[in-house]
Amino acid sequence: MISGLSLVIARREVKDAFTDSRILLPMLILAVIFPALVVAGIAIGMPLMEQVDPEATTGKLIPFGAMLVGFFPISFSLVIALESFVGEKERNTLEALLAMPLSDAELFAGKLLAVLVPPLILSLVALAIYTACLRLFLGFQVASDILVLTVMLSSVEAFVMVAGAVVISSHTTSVRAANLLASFVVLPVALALQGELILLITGYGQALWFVWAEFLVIAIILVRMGITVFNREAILARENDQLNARLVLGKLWRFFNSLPDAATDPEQGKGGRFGLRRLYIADMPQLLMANWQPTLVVVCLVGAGAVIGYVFATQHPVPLGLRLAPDLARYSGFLDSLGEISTWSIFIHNLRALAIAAFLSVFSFGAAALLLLLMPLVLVGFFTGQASAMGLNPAVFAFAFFVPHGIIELPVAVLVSAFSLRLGMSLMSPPKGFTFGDSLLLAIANWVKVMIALLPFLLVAAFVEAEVTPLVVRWLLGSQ
Amino acid sequence: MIETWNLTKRFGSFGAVNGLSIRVEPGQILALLGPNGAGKTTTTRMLSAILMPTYGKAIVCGYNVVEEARAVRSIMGLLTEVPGLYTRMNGLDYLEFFGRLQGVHPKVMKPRIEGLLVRFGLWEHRHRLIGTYSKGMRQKLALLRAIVHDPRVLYLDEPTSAMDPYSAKLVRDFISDLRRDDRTIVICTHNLAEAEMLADRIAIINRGRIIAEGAIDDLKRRLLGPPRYKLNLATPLIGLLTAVDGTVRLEETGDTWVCYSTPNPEATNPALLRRLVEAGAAVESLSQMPRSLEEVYLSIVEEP
Repeated sequence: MISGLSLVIARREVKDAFTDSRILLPMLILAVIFPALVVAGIAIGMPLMEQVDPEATTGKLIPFGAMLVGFFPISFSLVIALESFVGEKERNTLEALLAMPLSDAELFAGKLLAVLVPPLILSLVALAIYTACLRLFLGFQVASDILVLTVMLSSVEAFVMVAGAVVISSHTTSVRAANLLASFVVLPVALALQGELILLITGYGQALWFVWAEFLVIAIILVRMGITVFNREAILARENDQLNARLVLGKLWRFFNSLPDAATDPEQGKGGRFGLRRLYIADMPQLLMANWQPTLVVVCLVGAGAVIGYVFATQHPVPLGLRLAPDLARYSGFLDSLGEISTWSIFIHNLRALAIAAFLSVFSFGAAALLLLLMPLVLVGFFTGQASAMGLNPAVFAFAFFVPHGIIELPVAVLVSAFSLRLGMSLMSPPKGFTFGDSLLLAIANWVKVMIALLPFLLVAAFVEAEVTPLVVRWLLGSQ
Repeated sequence: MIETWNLTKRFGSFGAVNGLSIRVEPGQILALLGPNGAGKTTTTRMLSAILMPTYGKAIVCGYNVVEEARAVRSIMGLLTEVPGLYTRMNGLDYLEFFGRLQGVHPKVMKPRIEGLLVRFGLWEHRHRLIGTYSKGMRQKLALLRAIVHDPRVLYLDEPTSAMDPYSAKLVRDFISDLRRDDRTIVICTHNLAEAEMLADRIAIINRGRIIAEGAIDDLKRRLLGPPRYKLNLATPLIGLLTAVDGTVRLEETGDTWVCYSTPNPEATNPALLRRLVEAGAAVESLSQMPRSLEEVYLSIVEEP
């Protein structure tokens, strides 16, 4: 991805950033003066903190300061990153660059590198000044593991912010619009930083490596997303960011009416006519064929969730004193309560859960859809495991409590979750010729189709859960 | 060589270019004329492999603009409508930057850049920041950016805009030299006089379609009718009209002059002069009445 040509672009832009006083001065202030101020703050706060905890300075204050010092120069990367593409477009310098014999990936990589290098250098400079000031004025040394962690975290956070900002910059038509959208990058990272500081102060500093890993995954996702959706044509052709609700809804309606295999051009096609018969004999087979990969992922996850829950239960059985007696007949009240939940309330609950998972999936690259399905399956495995520990036959237990309705409900949930996952992934990998928005609209249209097709099954599953499952439980387990 | 077949570009429901088919041979200059928004820039962007056609096909020097976009970009030079320069770079670094992106070998690049800067009068300004350049200097530098890698195909959007007459002539001469080197050149311009001076062929685009195309003289003949001539006599015309009429198509007459048009001047004019002399007329002058490209343009492009 990074070629010699990417480096040529990066070198020019880094030089440009380091010769622009409007950028350089604030960055230098953050890199040079801010660390000294933090050290001064530590000097003032040290006596107060040590009254509460004698180890507070080395254990909390210094790592806290290191995190702040490492992060602040990086926050400035946004300014450069946000205008990497759209700023050039505004200054009319972009077209000449787009006419060069570079691949989209090389161009994107060059820009990414260019906006990543200055803040990282300044972050390292700031940390160096911080450690030097601490040593010189207070006689303290920053622990090497804290320094490594800070550098790693700052780097990966810079990567996330820059990658997110470059994606924004390549998909907006003005610097102003890019700045407004930057809050989608700034807010999560700022929240994460607060969380990191809390972990550090409360003594869970080692957990920050998990945060680092999480940021790394997000950074990789964002870079992949940026390269996938970067399109020189779209950058040049896009002239305004106008949101036209009529056009958006029109496009959604067209995708909804189109057969999935025919929805290959976001701008063309009349869309056909949607009908229930067509939904089952044409749309659904096409959708299922085209989405076997997310479906397979969800199936694997469901299986893994149940196994994890079961294994966890066998390793952590409920203490004897808290266990239920194996004779479930003694809990007739509980068994009666199983039949009190109505079909409708189960149906609405399941529908709401699937809809929320789909909604959250859009903002979590599909992770929410997986997690929200994983949790009940872990619980199913867990309770089956506990039943086994209680001496019940786990197969009979599972068959009684879950199989009657689960045999319908689970496939429905798997399929809907697979399309929710696709919904979340739609922003990362739009089909060729599709914008982010087009890709999302197509995924929404497909999700709605799947939901409509599966609604009757969800209703039947709810009926079975409300009316049949309690009878089966009573029949199979009531006398055990 | 550039060849396109039914080249079409749509942005949503808007057709920017509709079914454009052109052919430009090596050593030929094609001027793309048309009102603002006619599709000229979109056409050059498609031919530069920056925008992908919605339909149709374009081949530039044997490379398909869709399938071999990178190769197309490496053999063409593009002068954009707005120069768009990095104003905090100096002229020399700027050209070296684009030369490197175009893969020009450093040993070749240095003398080439020097030659270009000298020829265009920018050598002594090479270390100045571009931000301090005048409009004309910026335009020249943008042109140099387009040709720094010695491209076989050139797309020039308003190549002499913002230039003083001397610089404009310098650029026009340079473009003419490039034509002699068998380069294929497409110029987009509103400067009809310049198009007439430089271009071998003209394509007039309106609303994304070519509405007229051909050599300038052919276009004039086709769109404005046969060439017009003015005949001045030293003596009054009375009595001589019968000698003129019937041979050519009379359009206007005065006391001692007559304007006429003829589709076949090579045969008609000598015959006419012979008849007039035989009739005793003293012919003072016979000249073709000038017809500009502007007349051609205005005759087919409606007011925006």
